[in-house]
Amino acid sequence: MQVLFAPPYNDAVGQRTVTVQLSEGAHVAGLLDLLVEMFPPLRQALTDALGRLLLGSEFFATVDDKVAKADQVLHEGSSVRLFPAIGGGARIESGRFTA
Amino acid sequence: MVGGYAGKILEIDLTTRSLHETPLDYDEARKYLGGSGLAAKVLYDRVGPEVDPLSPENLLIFMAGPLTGTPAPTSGRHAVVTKSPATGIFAESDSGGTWGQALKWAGYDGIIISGKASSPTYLWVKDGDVRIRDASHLWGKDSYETDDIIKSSVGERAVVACIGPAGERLCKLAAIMNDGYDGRTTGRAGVGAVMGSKNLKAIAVEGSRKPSIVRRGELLENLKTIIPQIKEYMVAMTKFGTGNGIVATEASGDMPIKNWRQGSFVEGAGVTSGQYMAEHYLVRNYHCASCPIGCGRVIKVENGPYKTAEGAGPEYETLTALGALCLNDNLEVIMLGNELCNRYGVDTISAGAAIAFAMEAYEKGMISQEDAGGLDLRWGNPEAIIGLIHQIGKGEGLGLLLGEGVRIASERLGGLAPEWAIHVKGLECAMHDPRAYHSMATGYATGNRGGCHLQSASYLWERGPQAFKTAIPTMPFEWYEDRHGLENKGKLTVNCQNLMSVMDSLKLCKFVFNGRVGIENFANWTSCITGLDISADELMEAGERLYNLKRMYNVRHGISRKDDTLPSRILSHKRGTGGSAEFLPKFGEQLSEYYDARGWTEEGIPAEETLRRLGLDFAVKHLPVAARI
Repeated sequence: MQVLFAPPYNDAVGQRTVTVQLSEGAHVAGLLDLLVEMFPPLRQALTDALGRLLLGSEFFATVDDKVAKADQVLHEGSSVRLFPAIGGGARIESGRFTA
Repeated sequence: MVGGYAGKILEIDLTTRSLHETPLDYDEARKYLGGSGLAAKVLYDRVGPEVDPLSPENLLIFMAGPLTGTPAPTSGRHAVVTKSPATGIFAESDSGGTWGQALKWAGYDGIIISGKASSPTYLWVKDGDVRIRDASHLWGKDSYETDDIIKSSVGERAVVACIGPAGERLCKLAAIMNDGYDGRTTGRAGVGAVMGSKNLKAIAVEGSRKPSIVRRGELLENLKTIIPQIKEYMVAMTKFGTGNGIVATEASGDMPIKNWRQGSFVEGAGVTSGQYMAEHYLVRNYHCASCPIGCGRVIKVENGPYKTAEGAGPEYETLTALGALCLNDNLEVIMLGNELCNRYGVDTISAGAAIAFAMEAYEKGMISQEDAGGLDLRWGNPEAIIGLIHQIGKGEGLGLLLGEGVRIASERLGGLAPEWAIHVKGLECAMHDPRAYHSMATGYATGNRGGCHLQSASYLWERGPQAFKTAIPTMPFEWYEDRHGLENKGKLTVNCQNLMSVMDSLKLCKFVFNGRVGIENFANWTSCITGLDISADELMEAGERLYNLKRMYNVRHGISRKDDTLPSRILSHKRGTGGSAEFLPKFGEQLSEYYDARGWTEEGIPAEETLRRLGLDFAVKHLPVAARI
């Protein structure tokens, strides 16, 4: 499936979109864990100091343009988009994420 | 030829029902830019300390900026400037939507209203033709009804700015609404009461006279890159509105909770967030004129006790003021409360603050259920929130007291009530906490209209430091890298206030910074549109000039260091839990640093040499004797 990174995540990843292979029935949380492994600079943006995903707080994910929760099941051909929160802003820990 | 401006200001004396057009002074426009800057100069020259805010001698000034009505992104805004009946000092309020654009296209940069009509009146302005019309059939109608009725008379293309019943009753929390059910608001500082004091119900505008753009090709070429960039960076705001950050805001300790007493509201934040609203209630986005972001919400609550019409949904400030601040986790209550405030024409921030104040007074036994007209004002009670909004809007019961603002309400209640009246200079504080973003301590304390978050908006830099490097590229990163840092916060506030003054005068939306644009872009757009080559430095100097001008207006009204302070709850009580549990800003030192950076005296008065450097020589004679050097 295709994952689209909105700015500034595309800077951290080095590209705007990536294609990943996941087993059928994988969840959004699993995809995010995989992305953090593939692209270590994303770890600062997407997780807290204990490694917990900040989905719904510091960043959002949509699947096929609908709001996605961590336990949402993904299907082949899904299009996933990641983008940062604006109103609550960037990192809670200022300055840790380099855009 | 100067582009961007309409080149004319309309002046209307409602007492004599006379009107005339004044050519725009372009030298003044270069110094004060437009919007609230130009309007502040008018107010300074013509409304002195002796003028009562609710008297015919006060002016009510509507002003667009040089970029309003052009393709410059987020330029669909206008300012309202007057002397505030809530604070007794300078008031500016800002709104988006399409009214500012319509005013400019109707042929005017601004409208200056003086006097008082002998009976309810509205104005109809179309392409330079101005009519003063009877509004007796509109008096008592809410803002949505008023919009419908006027447009049924003058045509659907008209854009209406109006007051609701709260403004008619001179409620000090009264706002001026525009764009009907889309609920755009010049909310703060009681500007709606000034409009009501003039028996002016509405101003409807329509026009086809788009301002000229001197270097149109260059501007449009620039925007081909900038607009997609803004849209890409601001996906979250487009999808989930300004409430998209509610969960993160609570986590950082920035969200005021239970009248600023509590540190955490985790579950409540989750179900009052922009994403929750988008998932369950969103009908579509709303875009102000020339805005690529579309953060506005159109929502509908279909069923249940808190049904709403299809219309404007709550923004971040409202979500928090009627939510966490009152310990309410029911989003439908917030959405209905927002609609009621819009219809009555009441500022949602001040309404939420007043309700939270009342809830605390009730908890402490100073207000009874009988005092509240039978309402049980326990924390988070939906019926209390909705009931008090009705009372404030109608000027009934406890609402009559709360409609005076928390400063006066607390003084009248007496005892320890002022301890939990959270305001600065009589304007209730907005929904960002200086204990989370330390520069907001001086941001609130020195805001020219009182407890406002947008006069400095310095929390934006401290919240997303990497993102805001482009806003003022010359400002040292270490000033805002650490939101709980104790150094350089006064200097940060000064620079942010100067930039925000530019925004308030050009009339650009402050969310645009999130799209990685900043002062260099604004100088470029202004130069292309007006044809005047204005540099970023010149704009920032203008911003500094305007901040000092508005401060001098307040100095003439007796404002000095003694007034530049914060409620003790923010100054000296820790939040105790959550993301900013143990932090307090070092306020005294921050304020001294601020004054020094401003070129003000230790008493918070602009020094004579500062005023002369900024071309404000005319203000020197108004310096208090002890400040003249």
